[in-house]
Amino acid sequence: MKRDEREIIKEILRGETHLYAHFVERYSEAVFSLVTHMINCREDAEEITQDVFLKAYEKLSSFNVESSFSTWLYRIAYNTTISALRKRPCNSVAIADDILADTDDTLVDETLNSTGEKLLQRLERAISMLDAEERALVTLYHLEERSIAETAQITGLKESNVKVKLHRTRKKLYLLIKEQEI
Amino acid sequence: MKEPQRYSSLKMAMQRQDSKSKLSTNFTFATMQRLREAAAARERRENRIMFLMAVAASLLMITVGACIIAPMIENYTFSLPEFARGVSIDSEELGIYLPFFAAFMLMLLLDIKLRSIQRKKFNE
Repeated sequence: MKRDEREIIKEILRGETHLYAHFVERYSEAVFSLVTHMINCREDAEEITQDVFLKAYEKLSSFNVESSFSTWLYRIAYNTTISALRKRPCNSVAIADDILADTDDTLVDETLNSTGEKLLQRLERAISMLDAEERALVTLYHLEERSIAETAQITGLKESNVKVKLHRTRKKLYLLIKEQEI
Repeated sequence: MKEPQRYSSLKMAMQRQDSKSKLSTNFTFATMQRLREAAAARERRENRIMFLMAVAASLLMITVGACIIAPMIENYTFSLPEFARGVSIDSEELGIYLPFFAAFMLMLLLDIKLRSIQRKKFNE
């Protein structure tokens, strides 16, 4: 965490509420991106993003200034979105474990590394069929390029669990793409 | 340690999804306004609780005081108006209690002043 951000947090805790706008300006797009990918609804995502910043403000005194503010904020965003999703039905697609286990890793790697308009369109549709946790993992690791350790810290999963879930999610995406080709 | 990034199409597909939804332009302003409203509501709630606690404490003290004084009046058979007449301005007790009373009034004024400063600062 940057030194000036640490100073800003201290100032906010001393009562300079308006300085919190710095964090809203800086991190709102990234938090919104994670929430949007998880929830698949722009209007709800904006409201949840606001809730995330309000919660973060309320909990600011418990934030450890030596750790990463963005990771801490992402954790609040992840938990808030998961809580919001509990209140609404989720339309994710489930694929049996044995089918996932039988899927060849080389084919998955080749497909997800190739480009092309059609593939991207199918991939976009496939991503929207994942469940919220899977979408969060893919967003954090593949889009935000966060490390496995950071992804684990944000989602509250073990590092080994994150790796396994990411591996299974990529296989699932491959199968969902193939399903659209038929 | 971070693994080397692969799966370029996955990132591209997610970036395309990202570009379709953007935050509204007044997001920061709206969030800060909601934050200020929430903070003000919390402060009002805290003040109400403090006021109710002060009233409850005062009532308790009055009750306890009455419970102590009432038997004393009964036992020693003196009335409060008579007792008040017996207190002279130049008595030694007044010399002790008057500075305490003055200090209390000063603290009360300071508290009111600080609260008004805090309220003004918060409304900015």
